[in-house]
Amino acid sequence: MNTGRLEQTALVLANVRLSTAAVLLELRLPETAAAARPGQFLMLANRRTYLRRPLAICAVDHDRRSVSVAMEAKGAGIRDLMNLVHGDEITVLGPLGRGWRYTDYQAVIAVGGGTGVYALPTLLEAARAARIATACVLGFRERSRLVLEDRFRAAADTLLLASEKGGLDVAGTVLDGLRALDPALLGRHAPGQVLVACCGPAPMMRAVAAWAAERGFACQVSLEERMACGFGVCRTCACRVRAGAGDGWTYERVCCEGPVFDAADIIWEEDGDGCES
Amino acid sequence: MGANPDLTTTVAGLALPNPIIPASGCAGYGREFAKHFELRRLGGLAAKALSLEPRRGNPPPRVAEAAAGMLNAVGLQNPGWDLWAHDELPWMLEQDVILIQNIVGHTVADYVELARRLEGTAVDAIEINLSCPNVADGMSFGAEPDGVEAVTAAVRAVTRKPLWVKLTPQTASIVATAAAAARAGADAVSLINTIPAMVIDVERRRPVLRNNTGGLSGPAIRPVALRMVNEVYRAVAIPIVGIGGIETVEDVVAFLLAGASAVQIGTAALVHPTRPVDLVTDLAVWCRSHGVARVTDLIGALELW
Repeated sequence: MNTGRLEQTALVLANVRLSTAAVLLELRLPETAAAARPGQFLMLANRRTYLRRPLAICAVDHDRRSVSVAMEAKGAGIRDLMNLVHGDEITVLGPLGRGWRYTDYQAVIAVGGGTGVYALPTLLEAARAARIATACVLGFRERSRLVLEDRFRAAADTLLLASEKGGLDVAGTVLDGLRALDPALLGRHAPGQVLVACCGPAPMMRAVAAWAAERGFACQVSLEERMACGFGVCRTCACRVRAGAGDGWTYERVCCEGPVFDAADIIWEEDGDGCES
Repeated sequence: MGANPDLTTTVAGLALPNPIIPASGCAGYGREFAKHFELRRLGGLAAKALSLEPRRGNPPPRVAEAAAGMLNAVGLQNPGWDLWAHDELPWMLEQDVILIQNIVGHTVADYVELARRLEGTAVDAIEINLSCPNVADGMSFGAEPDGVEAVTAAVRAVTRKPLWVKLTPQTASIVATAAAAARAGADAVSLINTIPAMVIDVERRRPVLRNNTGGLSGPAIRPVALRMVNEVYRAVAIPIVGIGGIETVEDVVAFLLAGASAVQIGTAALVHPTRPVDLVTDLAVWCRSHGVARVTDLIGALELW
């Protein structure tokens, strides 16, 4: 099947500051906006690095035919994207990857930390539109890093914000936030009807997956890994996924088989680090 | 200039519709590109390295940014012969594209067995990978003329298919390794593979790549590749397939002028997925605007000072 050109030219419609550290970049991308599903990502070219940078789709606006991505300064590539202004043009690949599989569940608990929170608003909004119950627990380093609170509050039946430095709903990690969720809320659905959807630092996702497994909830995680192409040919964004019998495993591509994987299939890297800048 | 320029070329008797071939390792087995353009519009497809047994590849991170390029240390991840023959080959053959299958082994016997099996398939040509820097022993065959000659001769003995030998730049003399391939019966040499390199994360005091080192590719290596292609062109009689940081039609023409009969596009296609097929169009436009009737007229037409 020929799906047309993967590479699109995007007009920058807006660059909005979300926190002391983060900006939301809105891009006019009609075909991408029409095709995007929750949990997919884009590869964005910039003026500083040779390779594109992968960023989760944070918002889709069908009226404005736009897609937004959010980012926080890390390396030169992301810093350059953060400096784009209305009227600039960049080239983009996407939508890419396999997103959240949420439609078969009665409740979705979205859990995010760090830049991982940006992969969650479209999931919560889509689940809400599908009449699926929604809860959300987010962790931020400190109160000044809190982002998109209004959108999360609008899309989640219950929202708990956690920071180990205090100043938000829960003083602690997202695990403390999950433990603070109303038990009646969690008990309303059969465990197998509850999906925990998590995106954040690998140790956080691993701990959240364990929390979900203890309760019999399904769990999906959205992984980050350094990648060159984003559409499957380079085979660089490898993650270990269980395969075959016993302890068998294989490297799958975060960009194609993921970025959203069933947590039970993931073999966590002991020294895994996050995505590139 | 009314007539369309003739883009056809040949590599040691193998006729290609045009000189543009996605490079092995940057095109998989063609499925991802086929979602966006017809593979038969290309000069050929150099399919990802194939080994007898499945290879998982290296642990991540497998890629690092570099100035004007990137490092990779994928580690020749591939499904191995059985799955490839069952799942990938039949699909590739349906695409009506000239198929050049890259092969890699731990031993001379591995290469021979792969070539013997490929002899019984409809693959159009075999490319021997003697130079992947990302696995412990991939370099050993390609660094010295004796190693190149030994593998090439052994494979030559079991196949009548066109045989391309992909050369590493990591050698004392690229002319010597190219000449060794020619002596041993190679039909063509493809060069250059990536250059062994390292990127360091100073905060962590660690290499970025989990493999510590990886192969540098992209525009950063293009001048090195052009120099080597031209050296080999002037010294060795067999055709050359030029590889190394090709991004634009001017880059394609530069490699043809330096002596390449065809070129492979690698890293640029990772950033611009339709670049290989766009370059076919661009090459026709370039030839027309420069009064070049046949693209083969450009091969080796470089005039040295």
